[in-house]
Amino acid sequence: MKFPLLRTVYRTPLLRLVGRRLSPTAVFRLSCLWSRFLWWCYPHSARSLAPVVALFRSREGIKAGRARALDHLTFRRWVNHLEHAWCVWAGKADQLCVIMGEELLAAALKAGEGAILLSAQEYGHVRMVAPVLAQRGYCITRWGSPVGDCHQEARWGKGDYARWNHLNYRGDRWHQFRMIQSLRSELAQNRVVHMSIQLLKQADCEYRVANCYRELYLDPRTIALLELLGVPVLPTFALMDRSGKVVLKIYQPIPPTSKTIIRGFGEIYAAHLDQFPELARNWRRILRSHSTPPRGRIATVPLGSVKEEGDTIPSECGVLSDC
Amino acid sequence: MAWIVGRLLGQAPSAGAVSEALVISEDGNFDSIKALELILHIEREFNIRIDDRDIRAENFRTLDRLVQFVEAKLVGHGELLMLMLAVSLSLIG
Repeated sequence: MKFPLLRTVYRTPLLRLVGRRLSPTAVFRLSCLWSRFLWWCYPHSARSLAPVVALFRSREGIKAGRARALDHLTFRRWVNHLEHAWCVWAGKADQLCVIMGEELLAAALKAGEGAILLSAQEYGHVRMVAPVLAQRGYCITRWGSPVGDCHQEARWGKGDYARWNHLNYRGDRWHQFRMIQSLRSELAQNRVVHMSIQLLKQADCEYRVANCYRELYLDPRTIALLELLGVPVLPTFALMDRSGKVVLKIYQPIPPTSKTIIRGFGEIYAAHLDQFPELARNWRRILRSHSTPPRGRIATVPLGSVKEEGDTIPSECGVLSDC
Repeated sequence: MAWIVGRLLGQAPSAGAVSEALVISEDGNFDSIKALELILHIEREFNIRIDDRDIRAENFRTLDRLVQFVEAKLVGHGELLMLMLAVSLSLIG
């Protein structure tokens, strides 16, 4: 039986006081060491990550591939930890988070029609985008999976942190229709909406995300929804730096047409997948659904192809092996 | 109606009259994207606002019901304008 240690530490009233005094950086270092220990001493960890190791190794060689897989394990554990700890660490948001490109969001909101932040599902600290921006003072709504799941609800728990709204799109289709209308109302009130787009293994070729690993496609339905909402879309990625900080990077707004979203967001997403593949949490799902890699070399997106000034990926992110 | 038949249901608008009993929302292709297109079209064409609570199966089941729903919104919109005008005049007077 799994003992929910993290939940216990951060939700038990007496232990919360202890958790509040912990330094996030120190806890991150411990988490790194623990991940290394699990990697070398707990066979299940290495076994479960074997497909991911093979994936990284195919591109980067044995040693670098293994290091990348260890980074991936460290990241997965830290993502989980941070979501539990946010209820006591939200007051230390300045130590935990860095936001780059915030002026772009502020500029987009000046038009008065709201703004949509689009992230990649299961990539980076995607679930931290709404909490971080809410703590920063933005009125933000998350469009996503239900919060009603008890484990997810318990993960955030009670605490002194700024709340965000949540629109749950799961349910019968009339519920979905009403939620979309609520989404429009949120945008009409000049709120920020955060949504994430899924990667699919099959779709029309125009939706393809070029990367070195597998044939992946953006979800056409999300793109159709964005086009109909007609609000500029700001690609947003929540990465991680060497000290465990969440680095929230907001990119230039993209006009809401399907072609520009596919091209603009697709290029940025592909660049992140190429440079920081360890921050993707869906490799096992992707690898299960792709029995063999595609033949031939898939063209990579050079990082410099993201044309707008300031649209480069922060160089401090992703490399964890120093810890 | 031609827009609904052609765009939403994917049927060629025929030369004859469209049946008011034509089913919209029970069509298997009537998904959230098509629903949003329909709502946006109605709001633009008739200059009305559809609330969350108006989005129910009975309002969108057939063309006939949809027409009744839009007419009710228009009447309510008109009444609201008349009320606002009356209040403004009373304040001025």
